[in-house]
Amino acid sequence: METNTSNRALARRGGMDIAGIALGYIPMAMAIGAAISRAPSSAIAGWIGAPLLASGTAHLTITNMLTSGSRIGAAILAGLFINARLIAYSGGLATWFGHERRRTRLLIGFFTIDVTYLLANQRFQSSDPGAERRKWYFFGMGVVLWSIWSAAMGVGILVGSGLPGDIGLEWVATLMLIGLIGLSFGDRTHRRSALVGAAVAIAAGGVSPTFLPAVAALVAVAVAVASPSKEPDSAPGAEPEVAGDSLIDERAGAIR
Amino acid sequence: MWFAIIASAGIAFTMRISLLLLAGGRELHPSVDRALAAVGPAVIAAMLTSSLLRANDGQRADIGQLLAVGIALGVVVKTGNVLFGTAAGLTALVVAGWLGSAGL
Repeated sequence: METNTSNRALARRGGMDIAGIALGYIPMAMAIGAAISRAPSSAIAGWIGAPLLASGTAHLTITNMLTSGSRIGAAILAGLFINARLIAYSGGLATWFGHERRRTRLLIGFFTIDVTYLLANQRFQSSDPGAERRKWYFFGMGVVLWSIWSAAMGVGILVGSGLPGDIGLEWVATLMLIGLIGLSFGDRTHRRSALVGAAVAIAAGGVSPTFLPAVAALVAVAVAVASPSKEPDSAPGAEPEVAGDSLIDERAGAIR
Repeated sequence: MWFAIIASAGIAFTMRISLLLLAGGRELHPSVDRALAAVGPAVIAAMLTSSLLRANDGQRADIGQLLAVGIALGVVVKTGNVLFGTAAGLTALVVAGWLGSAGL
């Protein structure tokens, strides 16, 4: 039986793991906040999307479409396509959290987004805290990311157009995401999937960015299914890999 | 705006919990596991590549920006530290911008 203290420590570890990455999202959140402040509709309505929608690309797309006079249905549909990848993340996390109670799974679903999904997979594959304790790590990540994201968007709305536009801060989030991709290069499946995604983006130059995530996800799934792994699949309940067996072992720790 | 955000958030939440609730507790076939694991890196890489292709108001990223991306990626792969990679990439961006403005 694990103690509350160790659960808290695990949550803190999750929060620490994601804190540096969450800081990289601040410029993006502030930029979306600035876009919301320029929209003719309620700023509170725009801000509420920070904690509830928690998807920067979809949020910005919806805000921009509504500001430019698009129909509400079209904006919602665009958001749906951009977020279609969340279904796959949900399935991926089910392998780690499938045994949890329904309300715990609902909360895990609430905190699901690209970075929490990727970091959770990396952490649990390299040093699994155990089936009953994974949720604390995930909640720690979620609370820190959601808090920083919502606060930064609120600041963006308050500061509005006063934000300097050309200081290159938007590159921080881009470089952070590139770092996350680089981190997963130690895993063959992830490396191949990242290359497939990049190839799809280059090949589909004419495809709207709205549809790109769904197209990339479909192609990556097709490639993954068509290319069976020669390595044994790591099961959630399996023993953690021995340190040094995988580059991810070291890298998941080094992100802290 | 209220309706669009609340409706989108509801749809997103439904997608987030869909398989967590439906597949929860069941053993997924290894090929399904593999397919699901492939989605995250592919989507992020696609969005990043797309943003690099439209980095400067719809124009492709310039040499300095691509160099910064390459340096950030290289540092992360070598050191395994995202923050080091970001710092290296930002430094490369600043240097490239400075060299560019100096006409070099």
